[in-house]
Amino acid sequence: MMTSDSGFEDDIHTPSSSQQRLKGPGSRDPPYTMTQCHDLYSEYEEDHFIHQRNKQQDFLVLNCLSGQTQITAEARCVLVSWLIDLYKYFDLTFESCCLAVNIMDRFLATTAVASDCFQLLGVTSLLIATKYVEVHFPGIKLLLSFCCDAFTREQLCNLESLILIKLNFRLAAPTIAYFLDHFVNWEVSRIEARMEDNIPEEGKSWMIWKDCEEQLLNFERFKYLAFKVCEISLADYTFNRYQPSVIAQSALNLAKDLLREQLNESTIQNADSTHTSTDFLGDVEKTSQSLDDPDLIQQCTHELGLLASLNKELLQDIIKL
Amino acid sequence: MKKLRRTLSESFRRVALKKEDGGFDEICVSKMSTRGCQGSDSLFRPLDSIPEERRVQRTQSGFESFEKHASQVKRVHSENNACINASGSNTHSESPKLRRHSSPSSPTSPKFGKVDSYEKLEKLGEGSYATVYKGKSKVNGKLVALKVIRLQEEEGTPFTAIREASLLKGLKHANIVLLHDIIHTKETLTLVFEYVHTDLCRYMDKHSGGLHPENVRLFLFQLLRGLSYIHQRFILHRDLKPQNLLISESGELKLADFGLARAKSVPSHTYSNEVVTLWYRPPDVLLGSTEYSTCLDMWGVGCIYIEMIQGVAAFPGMKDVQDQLERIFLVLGTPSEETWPGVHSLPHFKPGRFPVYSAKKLRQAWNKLGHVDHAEDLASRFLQCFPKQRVSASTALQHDFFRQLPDNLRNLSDMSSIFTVPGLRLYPESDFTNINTHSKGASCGKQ
Repeated sequence: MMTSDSGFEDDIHTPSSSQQRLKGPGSRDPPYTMTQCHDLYSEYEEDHFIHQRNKQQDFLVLNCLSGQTQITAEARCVLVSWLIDLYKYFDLTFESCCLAVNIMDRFLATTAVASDCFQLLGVTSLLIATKYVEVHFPGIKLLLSFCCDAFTREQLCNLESLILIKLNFRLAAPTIAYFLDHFVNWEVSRIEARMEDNIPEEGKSWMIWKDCEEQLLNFERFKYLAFKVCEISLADYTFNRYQPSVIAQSALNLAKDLLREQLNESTIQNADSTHTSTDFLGDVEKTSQSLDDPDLIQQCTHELGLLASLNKELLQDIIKL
Repeated sequence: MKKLRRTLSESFRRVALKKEDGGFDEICVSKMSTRGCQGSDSLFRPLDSIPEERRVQRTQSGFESFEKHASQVKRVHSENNACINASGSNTHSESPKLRRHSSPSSPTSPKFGKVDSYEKLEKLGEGSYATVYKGKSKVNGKLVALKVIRLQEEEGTPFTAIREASLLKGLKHANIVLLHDIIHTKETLTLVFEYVHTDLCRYMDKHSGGLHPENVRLFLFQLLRGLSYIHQRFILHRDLKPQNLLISESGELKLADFGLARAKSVPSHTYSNEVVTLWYRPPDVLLGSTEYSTCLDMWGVGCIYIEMIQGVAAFPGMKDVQDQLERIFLVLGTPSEETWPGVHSLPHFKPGRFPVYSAKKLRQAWNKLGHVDHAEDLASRFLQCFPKQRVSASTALQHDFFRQLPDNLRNLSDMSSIFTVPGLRLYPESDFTNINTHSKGASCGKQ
């Protein structure tokens, strides 16, 4: 998948080439794409990250189902799983999906919902999220058809208004999608810095480039795996108590663990592999990135690990790419 | 796709029985939340903690608010049902009884959030999804602008209204139009803004041929002050143009129309390159870049600044994107990989698409820049083709062009107007005689 035959040597250090390269493999449907690799970890991004991180507490809803009489965690799981399929079908961003779930949860914390209206709440939350996030959003008629026309346009519009009033038009919730993107970009800038440091000597260059390529390939898998874990976590009510930044960080930690395990296995079979291809699997905890409570991240990583093992069949392909 | 189409309400009822009829790519997360996982008992808070007696299956549908007291629940409940099921009655004209709850002391006094708190005066304008009226608050007698947005159109609440309301709610600054109130009724959503009597487009129409340089300084300073405030909050306006800059009688400038604005988040593919009127659209966006941030707004600032000084739009493209770009390159020079790293990889850039122009001095294009100290240098900092080279709003405020303004202007609190500083006032435009070059027909990029 990686087109490395020509020109790679010439422009390995220019940002645009590595940018394209990172977009290459595993791009079946990662909804966040790697863009502007250079300059990613700028001061502005860092400020924005801090801003988002501080803001997320205001949008966190604990025990949003505690007042519900008809909506259970299982029902929420079914609905969110369906929403995940829906956002993929419409080719929406992961950001929209995360925001939709957040809107839904915050509404559930204010209002008791009957089980036969729950699906309507799901699509309406998705509609509001896409109106806020996307350039193009799915039409109401189409959304309703995905509910087998069990609801009318008027019902959806009325609920849309009700949600906006109840949430007081507060929609700028920091999402898992944002934090995942931020942390991944940060990792990319780390890899790039390392590449710049390792300007190869004559003769040795081929080996190093091979490593770089391998590393990028592994990085794609790592990124996609973390994303998949985040996606599944949305549907599980257990993870509702964690802040999005904690889940994103934990998912990346888990993805590193899983890949490291798998790579260690393959290293035994193939002594050729060098450690450089997995450099990025080093711990992130030691950096300034991790401002969240390490114990909390550890706990969340552990719980995501259980979740991942329960959903093995979904993740297996990525790990053993 | 067929598998995606399904009603879930049945499954919610059956969910306790587990195992769906499945089919679609099902994520079996529920296993984790319930009993399927070994050893999870100690790890996970039991989720099925709702007492059995509360798990009654209601046949009635609806949404029941938690916020109301038990005695109110019944009525509110039916109100919400009516709202959802649209029984036709006007659910938002509240009964006096209900109002007494929200305002026990004076049951008849007008309240914020109520339609009848504002008296509608004349119509100010009509947009594609909203009508703007002049209005008067019955609470304090102040003039307001009522932006009445029609609901129940094909696609429900317009996305521009959702963004404008959600973004403006958190913004309180003297140079941002103040959102007083949001009123929701069954048919309309009304945003209540402070009333500001004109906008920069009409102001420039009225005083054609270029504004008084001192007034340009005051307007530009306020525009940058407002932008610096929203950019610090990671919000991009994305639709800067003279019509969206309101001007009060005392000369206060206020950023308005946040319908295309966005809070910065995940960077990719969240912006349409359809944003920003062509005349004020930066070259990177014209060339198809979707990766823009605050520098998008700064290009527009440069264009508006030139227009205020010179009295004509900076780049009044007449035809299309190509024409717009050629006008820009004619003055600033056709970009190359040297002057703008990455320009060749932008989607709409093709070698040979543009004649190779060399960069000129800005005063050759707009002579009045030469009449005011530091004016040309400041303009050149906004009008950079390479987005990363554009000056930020907060840096621009420190530019020498503003040096003669009082120092304490930079220490004002957010909500204080610059005209609270003694000595500052708007200059009468007639003091500054001009040749009328401002063509009315094409003013302000009305497209």
